[in-house]
Amino acid sequence: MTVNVEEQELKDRLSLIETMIAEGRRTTESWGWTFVLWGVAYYVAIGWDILGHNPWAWVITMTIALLLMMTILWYKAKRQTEKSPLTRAGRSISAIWTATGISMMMLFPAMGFSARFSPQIFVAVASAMLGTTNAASGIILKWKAQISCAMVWWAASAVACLASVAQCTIVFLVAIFLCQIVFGSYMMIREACQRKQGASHA
Amino acid sequence: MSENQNELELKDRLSLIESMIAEGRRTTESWGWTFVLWGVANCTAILWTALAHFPYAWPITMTAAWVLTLVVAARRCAKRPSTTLGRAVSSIWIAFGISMMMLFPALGISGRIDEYIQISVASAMLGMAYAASAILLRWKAQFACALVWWSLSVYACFGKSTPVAIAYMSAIFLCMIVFGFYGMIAEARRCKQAASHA
Repeated sequence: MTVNVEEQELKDRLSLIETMIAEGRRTTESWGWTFVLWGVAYYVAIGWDILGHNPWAWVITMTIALLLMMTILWYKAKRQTEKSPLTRAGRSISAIWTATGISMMMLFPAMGFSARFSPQIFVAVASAMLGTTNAASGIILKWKAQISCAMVWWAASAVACLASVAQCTIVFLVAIFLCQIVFGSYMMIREACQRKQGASHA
Repeated sequence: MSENQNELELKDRLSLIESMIAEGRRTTESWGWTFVLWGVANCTAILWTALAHFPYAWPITMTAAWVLTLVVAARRCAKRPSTTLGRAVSSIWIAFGISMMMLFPALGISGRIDEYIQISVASAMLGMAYAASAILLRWKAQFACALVWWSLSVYACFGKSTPVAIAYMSAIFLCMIVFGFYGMIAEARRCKQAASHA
Protein backbone atom coordinates (compact mmCIF):
# COMPACT_ATOMS: atom_id res chain seq x y z
CA MET A 1 0.00 0.00 0.00
CA THR A 2 2.77 2.45 1.02
CA VAL A 3 4.73 1.46 -2.06
CA ASN A 4 1.71 2.33 -4.23
CA VAL A 5 1.28 5.70 -2.54
CA GLU A 6 4.98 6.47 -2.97
CA GLU A 7 4.85 5.42 -6.60
CA GLN A 8 1.83 7.65 -7.19
CA GLU A 9 3.59 10.57 -5.47
CA LEU A 10 6.67 10.04 -7.63
CA LYS A 11 4.52 9.94 -10.76
CA ASP A 12 2.75 13.18 -9.70
CA ARG A 13 6.07 14.84 -9.06
CA LEU A 14 7.48 13.71 -12.39
CA SER A 15 4.42 14.92 -14.27
CA LEU A 16 4.67 18.27 -12.46
CA ILE A 17 8.33 18.54 -13.48
CA GLU A 18 7.44 17.69 -17.09
CA THR A 19 4.67 20.33 -17.05
CA MET A 20 7.14 22.84 -15.62
CA ILE A 21 9.66 22.13 -18.41
CA ALA A 22 6.95 22.52 -21.06
CA GLU A 23 5.71 25.74 -19.43
CA GLY A 24 9.30 26.99 -19.24
CA ARG A 25 9.84 26.36 -22.94
CA ARG A 26 6.63 28.24 -23.75
CA THR A 27 7.82 31.11 -21.53
CA THR A 28 11.16 31.20 -23.35
CA GLU A 29 9.37 31.21 -26.70
CA SER A 30 7.45 34.29 -25.63
CA TRP A 31 10.85 36.03 -25.27
CA GLY A 32 11.82 35.36 -28.91
CA TRP A 33 11.50 39.08 -29.78
CA THR A 34 14.35 39.93 -27.35
CA PHE A 35 16.69 37.60 -29.27
CA VAL A 36 15.79 39.36 -32.52
CA LEU A 37 16.02 42.81 -30.91
CA TRP A 38 19.52 42.19 -29.52
CA GLY A 39 20.64 40.50 -32.75
CA VAL A 40 19.63 43.59 -34.74
CA ALA A 41 21.23 45.86 -32.09
CA TYR A 42 24.55 43.96 -32.46
CA TYR A 43 24.36 44.37 -36.26
CA VAL A 44 23.69 48.11 -35.93
CA ALA A 45 26.59 48.53 -33.47
CA ILE A 46 29.03 46.54 -35.63
CA GLY A 47 27.98 48.38 -38.80
CA TRP A 48 28.17 51.80 -37.14
CA ASP A 49 31.55 50.97 -35.59
CA ILE A 50 33.06 49.74 -38.89
CA LEU A 51 31.52 52.31 -41.26
CA GLY A 52 31.18 55.35 -39.02
CA HIS A 53 34.30 54.79 -36.85
CA ASN A 54 32.31 56.14 -33.91
CA PRO A 55 33.93 55.07 -30.60
CA TRP A 56 30.56 55.42 -28.83
CA ALA A 57 28.70 53.19 -31.33
CA TRP A 58 28.53 50.19 -29.01
CA VAL A 59 27.68 52.17 -25.87
CA ILE A 60 24.88 54.13 -27.58
CA THR A 61 23.37 51.12 -29.39
CA MET A 62 23.45 48.85 -26.35
CA THR A 63 21.88 51.54 -24.13
CA ILE A 64 19.11 52.17 -26.68
CA ALA A 65 18.49 48.40 -27.03
CA LEU A 66 18.26 48.03 -23.24
CA LEU A 67 15.86 50.98 -22.93
CA LEU A 68 13.76 49.69 -25.83
CA MET A 69 13.56 46.22 -24.28
CA MET A 70 12.54 47.64 -20.91
CA THR A 71 9.90 49.87 -22.51
CA ILE A 72 8.40 46.96 -24.46
CA LEU A 73 8.43 44.80 -21.33
CA TRP A 74 6.70 47.55 -19.35
CA TYR A 75 4.12 48.02 -22.13
CA LYS A 76 3.48 44.26 -22.34
CA ALA A 77 3.08 43.97 -18.56
CA LYS A 78 0.65 46.89 -18.56
CA ARG A 79 -1.42 45.42 -21.38
CA GLN A 80 -1.63 42.00 -19.75
CA THR A 81 -4.91 41.85 -17.83
CA GLU A 82 -4.11 38.58 -16.11
CA LYS A 83 -0.69 38.14 -14.59
CA SER A 84 0.75 34.77 -15.61
CA PRO A 85 2.46 32.91 -12.74
CA LEU A 86 6.22 32.45 -13.01
CA THR A 87 7.16 28.77 -13.44
CA ARG A 88 10.17 27.05 -11.88
CA ALA A 89 11.89 26.62 -15.25
CA GLY A 90 10.94 30.18 -16.19
CA ARG A 91 12.51 31.46 -12.96
CA SER A 92 15.66 29.41 -13.66
CA ILE A 93 15.99 30.80 -17.17
CA SER A 94 15.37 34.38 -16.08
CA ALA A 95 17.99 33.98 -13.30
CA ILE A 96 20.57 32.83 -15.89
CA TRP A 97 19.82 35.66 -18.34
CA THR A 98 19.75 38.30 -15.58
CA ALA A 99 23.15 37.14 -14.32
CA THR A 100 24.55 37.17 -17.88
CA GLY A 101 23.17 40.65 -18.55
CA ILE A 102 24.72 42.08 -15.37
CA SER A 103 28.08 40.37 -16.09
CA MET A 104 28.18 41.76 -19.62
CA MET A 105 27.18 45.23 -18.43
CA MET A 106 29.98 45.16 -15.86
CA LEU A 107 32.72 43.62 -18.00
CA PHE A 108 32.47 45.16 -21.46
CA PRO A 109 32.25 48.88 -20.58
CA ALA A 110 35.16 48.40 -18.12
CA MET A 111 37.22 46.61 -20.80
CA GLY A 112 36.33 49.27 -23.35
CA PHE A 113 37.27 52.23 -21.16
CA SER A 114 40.52 50.58 -20.03
CA ALA A 115 41.46 49.92 -23.69
CA ARG A 116 43.06 46.64 -22.65
CA PHE A 117 41.30 44.40 -25.13
CA SER A 118 41.17 43.64 -28.84
CA PRO A 119 38.13 42.92 -31.08
CA GLN A 120 39.06 39.22 -31.06
CA ILE A 121 38.93 39.08 -27.27
CA PHE A 122 35.60 40.90 -27.23
CA VAL A 123 34.05 38.42 -29.69
CA ALA A 124 35.59 35.42 -27.88
CA VAL A 125 34.34 36.49 -24.45
CA ALA A 126 30.89 37.65 -25.60
CA SER A 127 30.42 34.38 -27.53
CA ALA A 128 31.58 32.28 -24.56
CA MET A 129 29.12 34.08 -22.27
CA LEU A 130 26.23 33.67 -24.70
CA GLY A 131 27.24 30.02 -25.16
CA THR A 132 27.09 29.46 -21.41
CA THR A 133 23.65 31.04 -21.13
CA ASN A 134 22.16 29.26 -24.12
CA ALA A 135 23.62 25.92 -22.97
CA ALA A 136 22.29 26.27 -19.42
CA SER A 137 18.81 27.24 -20.73
CA GLY A 138 18.93 24.45 -23.31
CA ILE A 139 19.82 21.83 -20.69
CA ILE A 140 17.08 23.02 -18.30
CA LEU A 141 14.44 23.03 -21.05
CA LYS A 142 15.84 19.90 -22.75
CA TRP A 143 15.77 21.94 -25.97
CA LYS A 144 18.10 20.73 -28.69
CA ALA A 145 17.70 23.86 -30.85
CA GLN A 146 19.01 26.05 -28.04
CA ILE A 147 21.87 23.66 -27.22
CA SER A 148 22.82 23.85 -30.92
CA CYS A 149 22.94 27.65 -30.60
CA ALA A 150 25.26 27.24 -27.60
CA MET A 151 27.56 25.08 -29.72
CA VAL A 152 27.62 27.72 -32.46
CA TRP A 153 28.57 30.37 -29.85
CA TRP A 154 31.31 28.16 -28.37
CA ALA A 155 32.74 27.46 -31.82
CA ALA A 156 32.68 31.21 -32.59
CA SER A 157 34.46 31.87 -29.30
CA ALA A 158 37.30 29.45 -30.07
CA VAL A 159 37.64 30.58 -33.71
CA ALA A 160 37.68 34.28 -32.74
CA CYS A 161 40.79 33.77 -30.60
CA LEU A 162 42.79 32.43 -33.53
CA ALA A 163 41.38 34.55 -36.39
CA SER A 164 42.20 37.97 -37.85
CA VAL A 165 39.92 40.95 -37.12
CA ALA A 166 38.08 40.59 -40.46
CA GLN A 167 37.57 36.83 -40.05
CA CYS A 168 36.50 37.26 -36.46
CA THR A 169 33.90 39.91 -37.46
CA ILE A 170 32.45 37.58 -40.10
CA VAL A 171 32.26 34.71 -37.58
CA PHE A 172 30.49 36.98 -35.09
CA LEU A 173 28.00 38.23 -37.71
CA VAL A 174 27.15 34.65 -38.75
CA ALA A 175 26.71 33.52 -35.13
CA ILE A 176 24.46 36.52 -34.40
CA PHE A 177 22.37 35.76 -37.48
CA LEU A 178 21.93 32.09 -36.63
CA CYS A 179 21.59 32.21 -32.84
CA GLN A 180 19.82 35.52 -32.33
CA ILE A 181 17.84 36.41 -35.43
CA VAL A 182 16.97 32.96 -36.85
CA PHE A 183 16.48 31.34 -33.42
CA GLY A 184 14.51 34.36 -32.14
CA SER A 185 12.27 34.38 -35.23
CA TYR A 186 11.73 30.61 -34.83
CA MET A 187 10.56 31.19 -31.25
CA MET A 188 8.26 34.02 -32.33
CA ILE A 189 6.71 31.83 -35.04
CA ARG A 190 6.16 28.98 -32.57
CA GLU A 191 4.54 31.35 -30.10
CA ALA A 192 2.26 32.76 -32.78
CA CYS A 193 1.25 29.23 -33.85
CA GLN A 194 0.46 28.31 -30.24
CA ARG A 195 -1.60 31.46 -29.81
CA LYS A 196 -3.53 30.61 -32.98
CA GLN A 197 -4.13 27.06 -31.74
CA GLY A 198 -5.25 28.41 -28.36
CA ALA A 199 -7.67 30.81 -30.04
CA SER A 200 -9.15 28.08 -32.26
CA HIS A 201 -9.61 25.76 -29.23
CA ALA A 202 -11.34 28.50 -27.22
CA MET B 1 -15.82 24.18 -2.73
CA SER B 2 -13.89 24.44 -5.98
CA GLU B 3 -12.26 27.66 -4.77
CA ASN B 4 -11.13 25.88 -1.60
CA GLN B 5 -9.75 23.03 -3.68
CA ASN B 6 -7.88 25.46 -5.90
CA GLU B 7 -6.43 27.19 -2.85
CA LEU B 8 -5.31 23.85 -1.43
CA GLU B 9 -3.76 22.86 -4.74
CA LEU B 10 -1.92 26.19 -4.91
CA LYS B 11 -0.69 25.75 -1.33
CA ASP B 12 0.51 22.21 -2.14
CA ARG B 13 2.31 23.48 -5.21
CA LEU B 14 3.89 26.35 -3.27
CA SER B 15 5.06 24.05 -0.50
CA LEU B 16 6.50 21.68 -3.11
CA ILE B 17 8.37 24.59 -4.72
CA GLU B 18 9.65 25.73 -1.32
CA SER B 19 10.87 22.22 -0.53
CA MET B 20 12.52 22.10 -3.98
CA ILE B 21 14.42 25.34 -3.22
CA ALA B 22 15.58 23.92 0.12
CA GLU B 23 16.62 20.68 -1.60
CA GLY B 24 18.45 22.67 -4.28
CA ARG B 25 20.38 24.61 -1.66
CA ARG B 26 21.27 21.37 0.13
CA THR B 27 22.46 19.94 -3.19
CA THR B 28 24.71 22.98 -3.71
CA GLU B 29 26.04 22.68 -0.16
CA SER B 30 26.93 19.07 -0.88
CA TRP B 31 29.11 20.38 -3.73
CA GLY B 32 31.09 22.60 -1.32
CA TRP B 33 34.18 20.43 -1.82
CA THR B 34 34.37 21.42 -5.51
CA PHE B 35 34.59 25.13 -4.57
CA VAL B 36 37.46 24.32 -2.19
CA LEU B 37 39.15 22.04 -4.74
CA TRP B 38 39.00 24.65 -7.53
CA GLY B 39 40.06 27.43 -5.15
CA VAL B 40 43.15 25.43 -4.16
CA ALA B 41 43.81 24.51 -7.83
CA ASN B 42 43.67 28.18 -8.89
CA CYS B 43 46.02 29.22 -6.06
CA THR B 44 48.42 26.39 -6.98
CA ALA B 45 48.47 27.43 -10.66
CA ILE B 46 49.02 31.11 -9.81
CA LEU B 47 51.86 30.39 -7.39
CA TRP B 48 53.46 27.80 -9.70
CA THR B 49 53.43 30.31 -12.59
CA ALA B 50 54.69 33.18 -10.42
CA LEU B 51 57.46 31.32 -8.59
CA ALA B 52 58.70 28.77 -11.13
CA HIS B 53 57.72 30.60 -14.36
CA PHE B 54 56.55 27.26 -15.73
CA PRO B 55 54.44 27.83 -18.91
CA TYR B 56 52.38 24.66 -18.49
CA ALA B 57 51.42 25.33 -14.86
CA TRP B 58 47.84 26.33 -15.75
CA PRO B 59 47.03 23.48 -18.19
CA ILE B 60 48.50 20.84 -15.84
CA THR B 61 46.77 22.12 -12.69
CA MET B 62 43.42 22.67 -14.41
CA THR B 63 43.48 19.22 -16.04
CA ALA B 64 44.35 17.57 -12.72
CA ALA B 65 41.51 19.49 -11.01
CA TRP B 66 39.07 18.41 -13.75
CA VAL B 67 40.02 14.75 -13.47
CA LEU B 68 39.76 14.86 -9.68
CA THR B 69 36.36 16.60 -9.85
CA LEU B 70 35.00 14.06 -12.33
CA VAL B 71 36.25 11.06 -10.32
CA VAL B 72 34.89 12.29 -6.97
CA ALA B 73 31.63 13.57 -8.51
CA ALA B 74 30.99 10.26 -10.28
CA ARG B 75 31.37 8.40 -6.97
CA ARG B 76 29.13 10.81 -5.05
CA CYS B 77 26.42 11.28 -7.70
CA ALA B 78 25.80 7.53 -7.96
CA LYS B 79 24.49 7.63 -4.38
CA ARG B 80 22.00 10.52 -4.75
CA PRO B 81 18.82 11.25 -6.73
CA SER B 82 18.87 14.64 -8.49
CA THR B 83 16.25 17.34 -7.82
CA THR B 84 14.72 19.81 -10.30
CA LEU B 85 16.58 22.78 -8.84
CA GLY B 86 19.71 20.72 -8.47
CA ARG B 87 19.45 19.96 -12.18
CA ALA B 88 19.00 23.65 -13.01
CA VAL B 89 22.00 24.67 -10.90
CA SER B 90 24.13 21.87 -12.29
CA SER B 91 23.21 22.94 -15.85
CA ILE B 92 24.60 26.42 -15.07
CA TRP B 93 27.89 25.00 -13.78
CA ILE B 94 28.22 22.47 -16.62
CA ALA B 95 27.71 25.24 -19.21
CA PHE B 96 30.16 27.47 -17.34
CA GLY B 97 32.77 24.68 -17.22
CA ILE B 98 32.50 23.96 -20.95
CA SER B 99 32.80 27.70 -21.75
CA MET B 100 35.91 28.08 -19.63
CA MET B 101 37.41 24.96 -21.22
CA MET B 102 36.76 26.39 -24.70
CA LEU B 103 37.73 29.99 -24.07
CA PHE B 104 40.88 29.97 -21.95
CA PRO B 105 42.96 27.36 -23.83
CA ALA B 106 42.05 29.15 -27.11
CA LEU B 107 43.04 32.53 -25.65
CA GLY B 108 46.24 31.00 -24.25
CA ILE B 109 47.25 29.34 -27.53
CA SER B 110 46.55 32.53 -29.51
CA GLY B 111 48.83 34.46 -27.13
CA ARG B 112 46.22 37.23 -26.93
CA ILE B 113 45.68 37.00 -23.20
CA ASP B 114 47.43 38.86 -20.39
CA GLU B 115 46.95 38.66 -16.62
CA TYR B 116 44.43 41.54 -16.57
CA ILE B 117 42.18 40.03 -19.22
CA GLN B 118 42.45 36.58 -17.68
CA ILE B 119 41.39 37.82 -14.23
CA SER B 120 38.72 40.16 -15.57
CA VAL B 121 37.07 37.60 -17.85
CA ALA B 122 37.32 34.71 -15.38
CA SER B 123 35.82 36.89 -12.63
CA ALA B 124 32.95 38.09 -14.84
CA MET B 125 32.10 34.50 -15.80
CA LEU B 126 32.35 33.29 -12.21
CA GLY B 127 30.12 36.21 -11.16
CA MET B 128 27.61 35.13 -13.77
CA ALA B 129 27.49 31.51 -12.55
CA TYR B 130 27.39 32.46 -8.86
CA ALA B 131 24.64 35.05 -9.41
CA ALA B 132 22.45 32.76 -11.51
CA SER B 133 22.74 30.00 -8.92
CA ALA B 134 22.14 32.45 -6.04
CA ILE B 135 19.01 33.94 -7.64
CA LEU B 136 17.66 30.43 -8.19
CA LEU B 137 18.36 29.29 -4.64
CA ARG B 138 17.57 32.68 -3.03
CA TRP B 139 20.93 32.43 -1.30
CA LYS B 140 22.38 35.74 -0.08
CA ALA B 141 25.84 34.32 0.76
CA GLN B 142 26.31 33.13 -2.80
CA PHE B 143 25.01 36.40 -4.23
CA ALA B 144 27.53 38.28 -2.08
CA CYS B 145 30.25 36.14 -3.70
CA ALA B 146 28.88 37.11 -7.14
CA LEU B 147 29.19 40.80 -6.18
CA VAL B 148 32.82 40.21 -5.15
CA TRP B 149 33.56 38.57 -8.54
CA TRP B 150 31.87 41.37 -10.51
CA SER B 151 33.75 44.07 -8.58
CA LEU B 152 37.02 42.27 -9.25
CA SER B 153 36.15 41.95 -12.93
CA VAL B 154 35.87 45.76 -13.22
CA TYR B 155 38.87 46.46 -10.98
CA ALA B 156 41.13 44.12 -13.01
CA CYS B 157 40.57 46.31 -16.08
CA PHE B 158 41.98 49.42 -14.39
CA GLY B 159 44.26 48.21 -11.57
CA LYS B 160 48.00 47.58 -11.50
CA SER B 161 49.58 44.14 -11.63
CA THR B 162 50.34 43.43 -7.96
CA PRO B 163 47.14 44.84 -6.40
CA VAL B 164 45.05 43.02 -9.02
CA ALA B 165 46.84 39.72 -8.26
CA ILE B 166 46.30 40.23 -4.52
CA ALA B 167 42.62 41.05 -5.09
CA TYR B 168 42.25 37.88 -7.22
CA MET B 169 43.86 35.68 -4.56
CA SER B 170 41.62 37.25 -1.90
CA ALA B 171 38.50 36.66 -4.03
CA ILE B 172 39.51 33.02 -4.56
CA PHE B 173 40.04 32.63 -0.82
CA LEU B 174 36.69 34.23 0.11
CA CYS B 175 34.40 33.02 -2.66
CA MET B 176 35.84 29.57 -3.28
CA ILE B 177 37.69 28.30 -0.23
CA VAL B 178 35.70 29.96 2.57
CA PHE B 179 32.36 29.57 0.74
CA GLY B 180 33.18 25.93 -0.04
CA PHE B 181 34.08 25.16 3.57
CA TYR B 182 30.85 26.86 4.67
CA GLY B 183 28.92 24.48 2.38
CA MET B 184 30.87 21.47 3.63
CA ILE B 185 30.25 22.40 7.28
CA ALA B 186 26.52 22.92 6.62
CA GLU B 187 26.36 19.49 4.95
CA ALA B 188 28.27 17.79 7.77
CA ARG B 189 25.91 19.37 10.34
CA ARG B 190 22.88 18.12 8.44
CA CYS B 191 24.32 14.61 8.22
CA LYS B 192 24.95 14.64 11.98
CA GLN B 193 21.40 15.83 12.67
CA ALA B 194 19.96 13.16 10.38
CA ALA B 195 22.03 10.49 12.14
CA SER B 196 20.89 11.64 15.59
CA HIS B 197 17.22 11.68 14.45
CA ALA B 198 17.49 8.16 13.02
